[in-house]
Amino acid sequence: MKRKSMKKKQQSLFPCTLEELQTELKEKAMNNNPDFVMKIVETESEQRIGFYFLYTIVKPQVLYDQIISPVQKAKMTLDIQSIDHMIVLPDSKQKSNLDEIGQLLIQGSVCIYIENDQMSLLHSVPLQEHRSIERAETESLIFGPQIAFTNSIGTNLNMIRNMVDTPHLKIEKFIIGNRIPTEVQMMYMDDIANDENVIELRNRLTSLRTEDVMNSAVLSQQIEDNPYSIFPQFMVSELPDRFSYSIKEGKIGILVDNSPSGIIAPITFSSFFESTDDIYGRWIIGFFTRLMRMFAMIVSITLTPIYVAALTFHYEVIPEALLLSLGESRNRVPFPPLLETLILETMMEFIREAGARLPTKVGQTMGIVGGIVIGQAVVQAGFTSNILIILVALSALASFTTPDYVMGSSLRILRFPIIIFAGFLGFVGFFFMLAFIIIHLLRLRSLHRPYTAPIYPFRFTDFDQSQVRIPFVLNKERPVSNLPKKTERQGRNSHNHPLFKTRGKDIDE
Amino acid sequence: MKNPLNIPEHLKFRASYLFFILFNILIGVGVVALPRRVFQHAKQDSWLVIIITAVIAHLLLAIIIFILKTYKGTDLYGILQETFGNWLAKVFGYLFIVYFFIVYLSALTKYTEFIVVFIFPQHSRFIIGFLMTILIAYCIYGGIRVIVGVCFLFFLLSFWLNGVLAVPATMIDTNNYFPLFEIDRNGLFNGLLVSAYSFLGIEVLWYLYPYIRNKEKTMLYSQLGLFATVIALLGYVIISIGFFAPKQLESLIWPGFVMFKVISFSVFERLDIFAVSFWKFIILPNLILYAWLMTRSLKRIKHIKQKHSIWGIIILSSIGLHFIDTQRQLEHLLKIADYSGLFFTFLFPILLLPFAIIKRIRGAKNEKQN
Repeated sequence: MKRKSMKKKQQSLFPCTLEELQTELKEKAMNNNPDFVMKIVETESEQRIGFYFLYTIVKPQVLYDQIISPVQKAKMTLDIQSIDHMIVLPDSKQKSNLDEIGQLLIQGSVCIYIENDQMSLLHSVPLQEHRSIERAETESLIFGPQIAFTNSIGTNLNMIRNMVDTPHLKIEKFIIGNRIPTEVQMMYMDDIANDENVIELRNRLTSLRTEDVMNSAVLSQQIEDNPYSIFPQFMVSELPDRFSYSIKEGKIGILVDNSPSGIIAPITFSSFFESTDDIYGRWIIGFFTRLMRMFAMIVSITLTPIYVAALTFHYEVIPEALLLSLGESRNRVPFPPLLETLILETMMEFIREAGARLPTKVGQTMGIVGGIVIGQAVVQAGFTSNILIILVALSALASFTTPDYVMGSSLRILRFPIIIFAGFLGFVGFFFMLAFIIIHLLRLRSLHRPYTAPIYPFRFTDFDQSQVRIPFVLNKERPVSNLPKKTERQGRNSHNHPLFKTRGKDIDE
Repeated sequence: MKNPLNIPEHLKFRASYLFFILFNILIGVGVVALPRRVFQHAKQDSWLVIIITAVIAHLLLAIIIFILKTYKGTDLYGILQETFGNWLAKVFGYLFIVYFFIVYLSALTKYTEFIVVFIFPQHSRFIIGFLMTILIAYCIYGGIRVIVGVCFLFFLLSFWLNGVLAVPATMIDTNNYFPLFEIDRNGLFNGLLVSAYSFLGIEVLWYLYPYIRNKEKTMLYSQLGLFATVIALLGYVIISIGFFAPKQLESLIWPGFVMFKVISFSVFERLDIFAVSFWKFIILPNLILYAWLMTRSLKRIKHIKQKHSIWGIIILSSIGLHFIDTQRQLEHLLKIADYSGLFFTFLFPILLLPFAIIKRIRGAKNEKQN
């Protein structure tokens, strides 16, 4: 009832004077916001024209040059249509409903109203302050373009469009959030990306009911397959080159407004250990680094648990020579190996977390204090053994080789349950946890696609693009794990390469 | 067909995974004791006995696949229903479940026995076994694709352990192999019986067959899997005959693990401790497959949801673990498992074979008439 009467009142508002519209807008639609302003312009034909806007979210330069000054200079009698023709901005709307006008004003529009007219004209000139394009901070590269996404979805889209400039790049727009609507863009190559994946992701985005989307990291957690898992099932990357590379290989990308990172889906476990650096560098380097990262991942979760298991239950496993030095360094330690390791691992996490939270300059000092001073003192005080310090530092170091920070942190946390199980059940507990993690990985899905591909389901042709890297000449097909529509790469004729022209010829021919 | 099985396409897997499944279900707890058990009867000719049994197993596998092909895409229960009718099919189905459970329980207790003997003499078996059942349930909840994945990945993780046996292989005394071909009839028969126990498990195909995507390759990959198992078993037997003195081999309970004892690396002194714990990766797919077979056949017979029946299995196996705590009871259980295995694995396919042949002949006649 109330709503109906309000609507009637609003319909009866036009035509009105400029001042009436101002007070109506300010009280009813603008919630008495202090940054709501009205500017009145009188034309030569003695028409009074009002401009209403929120001065904090419109671009003042554009507002003056494109909207106010053409109207001011006009010599004839103006109506809504002629003003609309004068302004060369793309986005114009005609509205008479007060609520709708208010909504558009909040999103950065300017409302133009000729006194005693039936309609008002709205033009969108939003001002969005954001960082300029900067160096990537969390995922740093050596060879790559080294730029990161910014907060503005327009700038991000512009970067992606420039990197993937083909009409096959399809972009779909969604507005998500019941309370604070946020713009979300999903993009993929429509001639490569798998239809089932696209439909599945589209369904997840459209069926998402939420108040608001803070940024892409939050969105990725809201549409994940298994929110209880410790492993991320979508990749959130701040690198436009990585994002566009994934799209070109047949994956789907999502950009969220006000968020300096994009979501890549579907993803596999091994892709968290790939970096675009491996592609930019020569293939032998890439081959080696990728294998090394995998190895580092295994080391980082198994090294300290093996120490705990061996020292608590299985002395006989340690060779004699090593046992002597181990015993020497441990003879002053009053704690059991489990407690000793947990103390040191926790300390390591303190140092890392403090380093991350402190400002950069203080953070460096923190690292020196934490690493060297405390490390030395802990051993001298007889809290832990020297060898354990080496192992803990080594496994922390190994976990930092993971290019994706989220995955690196997950692996570091994963170490704790393994250590505890190894402390209580020795190797039996250790292998129990490892088996549990492997089964968990096998059960995980990303967009209903297996997480452990290409190892299981076994796809041999994909190994050259995930676990290892081979020369581009030999790389003829897209990874089949993404189930692309076309596996053959277009226009790749590797037989023209000098490498393949030597067949049937001798040296020096 | 009475009982058409409509397995959704996304649940099916490639036939090549059968290689790993068969290898995993055949190599279990038995392989560690196998050299001693065969040697007791067949002495230096154990390898010959293994080869003869392997040939029989290959033939049996071919028979099983022949029967499955004849009945096109259905599993054991469907076949039984078609040949014997509902009532007998149910009886056989339940008998199979009991058999699966006995094998499952004996493997589980045997594994806990390894750990208790080698690593934790004070620990209760119950906790170790219970941890295993948690893993099994967690895996079965993932569905058939995850089970196949576990078989595949755990194979990749654990098959190098067989390669490590190259170290004891270098210490072989060739005199231990001679004299050759001295086996008598009695020894041969008993040896065959004993080595047949290592081939229990090929019945997994009875229920797995409908899940295979390219069924025409079933024969190739399952025979290959069986062949790889035979090679591994032969390796264990031949190396342990050469490695141990004959008297010593007869007295060792688990010669397989003892051989790991001599292997040492510069950072790892005794591999047997590691191998016993690592055996989890070998035994787990085995247990998972048996648990799956039970839940699957219960679902076929009684339409009990697999996620409910797995809890029944966990509770029953926990009770079993609790009550079987002496070596003697365990040996008893193993004996039951072995004897029932002889019937269900070796005799049952032969029992079904005539029906399948008749069906084929009739099918051919019908085609001619049409």
